[in-house]
Parts: sequence; structure tokens; C-alpha cells
Amino acid sequence: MSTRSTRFRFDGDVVLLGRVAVPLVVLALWQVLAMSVSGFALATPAATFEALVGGFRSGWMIDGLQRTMTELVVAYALAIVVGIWVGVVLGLNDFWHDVFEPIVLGTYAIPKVTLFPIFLFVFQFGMDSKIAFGWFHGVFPVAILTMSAMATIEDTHLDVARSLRLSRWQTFRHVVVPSILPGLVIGLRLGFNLTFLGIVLGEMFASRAGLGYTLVEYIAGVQTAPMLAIIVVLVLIATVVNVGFFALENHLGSRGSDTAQMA
Amino acid sequence: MLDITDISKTYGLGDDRVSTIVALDDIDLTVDRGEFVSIIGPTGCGKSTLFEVIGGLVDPTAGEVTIEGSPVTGPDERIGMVFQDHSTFPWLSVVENVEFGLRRSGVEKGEARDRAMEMIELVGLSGFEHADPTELSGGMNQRVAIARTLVMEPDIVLMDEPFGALDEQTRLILGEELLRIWRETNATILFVTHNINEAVQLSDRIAVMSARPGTFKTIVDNDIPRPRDDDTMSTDAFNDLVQRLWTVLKDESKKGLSQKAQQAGAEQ
Repeated sequence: MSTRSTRFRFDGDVVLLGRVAVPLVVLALWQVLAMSVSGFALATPAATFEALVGGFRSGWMIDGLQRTMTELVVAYALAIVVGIWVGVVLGLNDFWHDVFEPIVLGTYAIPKVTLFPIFLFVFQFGMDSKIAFGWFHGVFPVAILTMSAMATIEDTHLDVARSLRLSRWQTFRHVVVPSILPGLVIGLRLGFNLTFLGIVLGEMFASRAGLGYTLVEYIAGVQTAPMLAIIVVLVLIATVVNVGFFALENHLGSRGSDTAQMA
Repeated sequence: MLDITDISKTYGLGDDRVSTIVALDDIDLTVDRGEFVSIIGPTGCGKSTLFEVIGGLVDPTAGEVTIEGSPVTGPDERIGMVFQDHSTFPWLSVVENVEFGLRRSGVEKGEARDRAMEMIELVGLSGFEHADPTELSGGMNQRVAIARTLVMEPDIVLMDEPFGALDEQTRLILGEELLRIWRETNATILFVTHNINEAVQLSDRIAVMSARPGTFKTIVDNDIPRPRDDDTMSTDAFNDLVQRLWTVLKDESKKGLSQKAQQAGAEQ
């Protein structure tokens, strides 16, 4: 930080003010845009807010939210459990690491939306296909970042654990987990974002419920106020979770770890 | 008390494991209770391998290590190990580092904390109990590592170049500190180093290792009276012993270097 002395530095309050100002500017631009096109093409912020409140009052927003959040929580939990397990196993075992690393990285790189038909045919039209598709999006970053964080564990720390005669579980809980935590948290954040993406995509493509489905309904009906209301809700969920993760990453990063710089 | 008998260690090389390298060859050493013994040797002579074998982290190919007659077959509660560096846990505070082993072996929280606090005072880190290791110097981190090992009250403390990564001044100060701690705790210490001055400053006896395959060329008694301080290091007795050890070590160091050069040549 000290190397940036040539730049003009603002104190924290001004930065905070700027961060609050940006959404307000976006809101103002939205208002201008809505007024300059025909009322059917884009609802104003006020009309959107009205639709949002109406959505909660009449219940359609709550129903959609419940469905989407259920899928999201289940898919994300599965992505975390499987991702960490795969990452730790590949991180510990050279053979499986060498076999699976290119496969994992390669699969991560493909646009997963092209595989959605497979999920649809295997898991059918209900919640299962969305959960599976969301999980498939989220499990990769969790596994990959766990795997690379495993490589940063100090060998000496493992020797200390052995010389103090820690059990396998104690070594995992008290040496491995804290060592990989900074990298793991980044993986969990990216995993959440992609799981969320997978769930909403799945709902938009083939579903009869959930916010993604409702969104497509309103797009088809050119009802821009409720459409934008759904978008606002989805953006808020993503923002709140990410702000939480960033705070956690900063907290862990301040303890001085290399893995925090990986993503 | 500690008996090292006919220890040998052979490693397989390459993917086929057919070609082998003899790291340790017929090592014998006895360390008495309360003694401070150093092992010095040239780079790559297998000092660290010997440290790992005695500590039970690596199995020897032949021979055995016993304490009071009962064999060491793996990591052992009678043995405490201090590693070269990067061994403190950066995610724990100083006191949490020191009580780490106690807590994992089931010592109740309050008692572990009390014993850790005592040990922190002994190693001269009072006032830094709640600091993070990342905020501390390398020398202070080694004090933490020493406290974490001593608090377990092992019968013997093994140290692998614990001051090897430190600057000379810090190394001297920590050497004197280690002697004080050794006196106050009546510990038995087996100390691995490549630094002759350090070995003479600290130990009762000094075992000199040969270049690979590592074996003991000679084991020298160090009669220089204690307590040893800065003035001791300028006495004739001190310098004579250093010179004597260097004469033995010089040939082995040259051998070690030419082995390294050959190895580098073979790899190209």
C-alpha cells in the first residue's frame, strides 16, 4: 500500500460515500432510461418498487423465492461437501491429483449451459435438475481452490503435527483446515456465485416454478415492472452474500497468507 | 538414556527404486540424561535424516533408537522436536501455539494455558502472549517453537538447526538463552547444526559427521567450563577446539561439495 504514495489518497469516509453514490447514480440512469423509452419497454424504479412490494403482498415473489432458495441451499451445500472432499483428496494424493487435475480444470472451462439438456433428461423437470445443475456449476471452483490451497500447506507444520502425535482428524481439523482456509473461502465465494447462476439458468430454461421461471414469464408477457423486481431481488441476494465473503477474506488475508492472492 | 544403535538409512532413487543412496551408515551414539550433545556435519551429510529417524518421523533401514531401553517406533511423547523454521502456526497467537500440543493431547484448557504462560516467560516472550507469529522476528518465532516443544516436558529435546535461518547476533543471543533454559529445565538436548562455533558454545560433546554416507568420524568431549559467555568465545581453549573440529570437518565438507558437483553433472 505504501508504494502508492504518488497517487492521491482519500480517507475512508470519502471512499464509503463513493460506494453509496454509485448505486444512486445507477438508479438515476435507470430513471432517465425508463423515461426516454416507451413505458412498456422499461419500468421506472418507482414502478419496479411497487411491483416488488406487490409481489411480496400477493405472495408470488415469496413462492418463487422459497423455491429458488431451497434449490440454492441444497445445491450449494452439496457443492461445498463434495468440492472440499475432492480438493483435499486430490491435494493429498499425487497419483489422483495427476490423473484428475486436467480433467477437473478442463470440465470447469466448458460452458456448462450446453450440458443442461443432459441434466434435464436425467433429473427431469422438477427441482432435482436445477439442484444438480447448480451443484455442477459450484463444485468446480470449490474443488479447484481447495486443491491449490492444499499445495500451500507447510511440510514443517505437518511434521510438527506428527511429532506432537496428532490423530489424522486432529491434523485435518487443526493444521490442514486453518492452512487452506484463505484459499477455501475464495473457492466458497466463487462456488456460491456459480451455483446461483446454475440454479437461475436452469429455472429459466426448463421449470414451472422459481424466480428464474417467473422472470421468463414476465419477459414473455413484457411486464417489465415485476421483471425488474425479480432482477433486483436476485442482485440483492448475490450482493449480500458476496459482501459477507469479502469481509471474511479481508479478515483472513490480514493474517498474512499467500493463498489469499490466488483469485 | 538415549541410545542410538547401528542406525542406517537407505533411500531408493528414481521411479524404479533400483538405484539407492545410503544416507546414514552405522550411526552409534549415547546421550546421558541432562547432557547437551551436538551433531555437526557438512551440507547433505544426512544430519536432518538422522534427526527425523531419532524423532521417529522416518523409519531407519537398520538399527534402533531406544530411550531407557524401550524402543522408539514412531513419533514418541518422550521426544520433543524443534524444527529449522516456518514451524509456528501463523493462524494462532503465541500462547495458542505454545499450548497447541497440550490441548491436542487432552490437557484441560485452564491448565494448558497456565503451563503455556509459564513456558512463555521462561523463553523470554512475556508481553507477546497474544501477538501473532507473523508480527514477530524469526528469532522470536524460534522461541515460540522451543516453548511449544518444552511445554510437553519431553525426556529429550531434538533440535534441527533451530537457529540456522537467523542472523549471527540473534543466533548468539538465542544460544545463550538456550543454555539458560537448558539449565533451568534440566533438559536433555540433541542439537543438529552445521555451525562449529555454535556447537562449541553450547554442547558437552560434539559428534562430527562425515560426508555421505553419513557416519560419525569422531565424537569430541568439550571440557570448556560453564557458564560460557561472550568472553569464553575469545579464549584459546575455545578457538583450539573450533580449529580441531574444523580440521576434521574440512575434508568432509570438500567431499560433500564434490559429491554435489558430481550430482549436478549427472543431472545435466
